[in-house]
Amino acid sequence: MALDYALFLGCVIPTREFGLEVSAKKVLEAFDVKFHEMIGAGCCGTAGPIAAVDFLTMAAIAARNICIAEEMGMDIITFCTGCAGTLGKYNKLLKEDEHLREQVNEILKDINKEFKGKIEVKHSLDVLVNDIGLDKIKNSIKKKFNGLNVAAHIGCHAVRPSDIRKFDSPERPILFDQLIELTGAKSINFLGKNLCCGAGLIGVADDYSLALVREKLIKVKAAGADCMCTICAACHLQYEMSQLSLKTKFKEDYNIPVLHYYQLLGLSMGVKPEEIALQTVKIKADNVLAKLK
Amino acid sequence: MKLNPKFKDEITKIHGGEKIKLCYQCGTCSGSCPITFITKAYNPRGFIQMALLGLKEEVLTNKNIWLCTGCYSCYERCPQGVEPAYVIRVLCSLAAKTGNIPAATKAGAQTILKQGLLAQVTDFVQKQREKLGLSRIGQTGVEEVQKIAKKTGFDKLVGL
Repeated sequence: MALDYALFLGCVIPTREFGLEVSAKKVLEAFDVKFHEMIGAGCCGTAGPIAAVDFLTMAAIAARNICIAEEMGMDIITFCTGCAGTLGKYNKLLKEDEHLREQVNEILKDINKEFKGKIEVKHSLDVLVNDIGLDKIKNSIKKKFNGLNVAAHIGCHAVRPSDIRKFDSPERPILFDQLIELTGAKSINFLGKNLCCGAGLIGVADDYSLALVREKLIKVKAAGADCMCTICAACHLQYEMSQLSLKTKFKEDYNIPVLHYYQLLGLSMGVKPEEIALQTVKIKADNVLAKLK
Repeated sequence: MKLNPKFKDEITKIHGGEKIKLCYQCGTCSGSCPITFITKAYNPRGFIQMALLGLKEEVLTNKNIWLCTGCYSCYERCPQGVEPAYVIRVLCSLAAKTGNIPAATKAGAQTILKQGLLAQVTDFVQKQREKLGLSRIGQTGVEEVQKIAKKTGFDKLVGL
């Protein structure tokens, strides 16, 4: 039976992280997930420029997006961890808080929309683990990575705030490591593994953002990682772009390829590298491919 | 230095700021904060203390309150359930209403109001998408977003 979802792409993925969009679609479609375009969906409302400036505007913009999926009669799936966090939060708040719902619906009246509270918002991680299941994923594996050390970075919003995300432990998540290890790779430990990558400060305070990600890269390198694996578009962008800037600005070369999880899984499901847009990865991942048996 | 003892009551009335008075200044938030680790200029415990003391102007004009990355470590660990990440966000929104918004935040908000997305949809982007077999980016609902922003006054807040 097909799993039908309204696909919420967000901002970063369709304009910058093409590899994530291509690989997530390819891999999830193999498990009978069907994506339906959300016509007219835009930015989720995002924490920085909107939520930190005005709460009610944020709630209304999130609700507008949710309404599109409600009209389609489908739950939302998003590959973006930030969008899963914001849309998930406001979906829950608007369902529970009648006063807020009234305020928001008053605003939405002008655009002929009404939040009804009929759908759920899911991250593709939720779909992988809860709807498809680890066993089914395991059975789809055709090739295994041999001796590949992966530094996993799940990203804050996949697990926090835990009263909204309810995916895994907010402090010591393990499901993402289990997903990685299905491919035969080893998810290694490193200091500060669950700390923020600093992507939230890109453009706001670039020096602090770079200082934070540099701390992480040093520890990933020291732990002997062959590559990093992310699920979040912003984290992925941060780990790749920061390696490029650390190289040009400070002559520090970490040379750690960063793969989207769907690329790692896709390779081990026997999908060709170009079908999961492996060529879009900015730090060549030949060492990863060499360990696929 | 002017103290405004009613400032904390103003905060508790805004969504996310309700629990600020429960703070007993243990500093778990700052101790868990990845940004405090990088720079002592960002100190959530200190910002909450300033707010509780009524140092309204000092805290709202402090541009460092905008340095939260939104990792929610403080939110998970606060023993009093103050939800520091949300409290800081309330401080930012109050700062915004007095005209104190960082240029980058303002620019980001303006992009969303003009494009519907927090990103530029350029020809390059559309061509890259086509090359990878992805459909072109279509409607982003930007007119509807503009209507919402006009109704809530958000457009004026961010200088549009």
